[in-house]
Amino acid sequence: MTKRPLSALRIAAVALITLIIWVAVAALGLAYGSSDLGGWDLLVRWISGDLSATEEAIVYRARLPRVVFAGLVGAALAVGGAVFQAVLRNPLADPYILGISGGAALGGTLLLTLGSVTVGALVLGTPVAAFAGAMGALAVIFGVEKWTPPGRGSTYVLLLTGVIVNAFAASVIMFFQSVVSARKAQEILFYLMGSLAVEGTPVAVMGAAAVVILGSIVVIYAFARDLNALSLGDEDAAYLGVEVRKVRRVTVTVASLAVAVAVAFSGIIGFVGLVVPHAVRLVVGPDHRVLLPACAFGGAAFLTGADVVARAMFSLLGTTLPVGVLTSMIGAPLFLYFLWRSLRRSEEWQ
Amino acid sequence: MTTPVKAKNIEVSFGANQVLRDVSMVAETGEAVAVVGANGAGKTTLIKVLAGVLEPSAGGVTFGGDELQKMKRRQIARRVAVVPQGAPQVFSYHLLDFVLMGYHARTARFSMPSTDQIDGARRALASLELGDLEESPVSHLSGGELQRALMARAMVASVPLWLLDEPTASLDMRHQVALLEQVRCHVDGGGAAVAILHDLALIHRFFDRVLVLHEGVFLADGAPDEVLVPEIVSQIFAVPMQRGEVEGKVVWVVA
Repeated sequence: MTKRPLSALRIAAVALITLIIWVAVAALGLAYGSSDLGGWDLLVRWISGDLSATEEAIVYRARLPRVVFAGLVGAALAVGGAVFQAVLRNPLADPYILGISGGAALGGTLLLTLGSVTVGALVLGTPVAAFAGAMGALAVIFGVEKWTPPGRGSTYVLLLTGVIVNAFAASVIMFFQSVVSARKAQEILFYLMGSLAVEGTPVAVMGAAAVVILGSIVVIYAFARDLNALSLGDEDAAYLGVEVRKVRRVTVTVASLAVAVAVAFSGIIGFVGLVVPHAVRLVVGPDHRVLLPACAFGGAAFLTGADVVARAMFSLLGTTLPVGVLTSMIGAPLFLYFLWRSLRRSEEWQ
Repeated sequence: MTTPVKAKNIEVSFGANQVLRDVSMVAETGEAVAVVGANGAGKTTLIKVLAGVLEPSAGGVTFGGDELQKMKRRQIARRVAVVPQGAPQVFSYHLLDFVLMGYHARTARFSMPSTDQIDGARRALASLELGDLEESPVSHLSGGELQRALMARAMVASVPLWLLDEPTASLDMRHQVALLEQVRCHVDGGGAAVAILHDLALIHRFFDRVLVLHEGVFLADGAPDEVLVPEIVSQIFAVPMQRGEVEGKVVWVVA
């Protein structure tokens, strides 16, 4: 008996399974952290409303915001990666390929280097500067793309401009790192490595970030079928009835907005936007109607899980590892496993 | 008889290279039109202009009287299906899902394929002998299979005009005939088709009219038996060609 094509039921089932995985990982993130307090009984007492004042402070001020934020950032990066891979028809694309990371890193570095801000203002100041940098990079890229005639390699123009923006930003950042004090250079280095420490960020600010990220994912989902067509190539998509330039501009802008908001708070966390869409595609297939929700929850689970491990390393190393280091350390072998699985399946077709 | 597509005074240049010069043509309902010409004559450029993905520097295209440039892509896709030259696929959609994309312009944003659409896609695949491969990833298909998959995708679109860019280039003889029989069936059923082809014998057999494109201009336009004569064919391909007949069917050989 042959399989039926994608159905609403299958999409719902995949979304539900990946959501359950994220909830399970998030529960782990709530139960365990760098503090000794915790364990599964903490979760049980949290659900039954039986926490001590100290436990309440740890759960509500430290772990819950961190777990939710890790989920949001992971979802934004993974969905962003899926969008960029489809639009650019490039399996090596990640959400940073168009210069968002370079712009954000440059913005954040500029503020850390030049800004004379108090520690209290730094929590808000760096994200705002990073977001402005990411949007600046996007403006440059679309400014160049606007002058490219349609159907004349505009995808490559986007890619090349992104590479140039990232390279330019990297050189300026290195320049600043070379001329500032050693303490300041280390501060910049840690910022660039990425972190999910959002303790102390006002709830309203986090709420606004969440609305932008979740809203962006919903908007992108509305273009899921168009992304399927775009992943076949610009001309093919046009033949099928897609307004290629418009869809590309909307999806790339909205995905970039979500990624910019995420990196503004978290810094540059690598590998999530590359490995999660790939791994999820190998399991659920390339259709964006099922791929996007699976990427959102899968990315959330992956980054939340990586952060749980990073915090657990505290007891071993005496310091919390930057989560970006772990996403690559976990992501690379995981990706190789999925690739091996996919190649084995391919052999079956021969 | 209506006119699904009409191109008037089309000019296309890539930098200093003028690819199409003052080209005009029509394809009527019930008509299969072949376009022949040497490599670089401007055939694919013409198909892209007719499909609306390449804007000419002068001239315009109309579909049944409506100006192409004022139409949205979705409206165009409801009137024209294109079978492009098969390019390698990056993402591994299953063949059936790939063919179902042919319904894109007729499907609402959040709709799933209906049972009728799935049956239609399976019928199209079966008619091109691809039924057994419906669960194969398109990235695993051979060049000929991918070309037939693109044809199946055009078939399910249920549009009056087909534009085909060398649809038989990677096919063996049996599949070439099978594919062109589908084109003939579409045309005889009230559609129209414009196809780039290099096999002159097949043009005699399946096409009503042939346009000879040479260095960006039409050299001849008419019924295959009248237009495809050794003088013209030898001139456009720059090689001496001879026309003969075997059991009442036209054949061409290099002299």
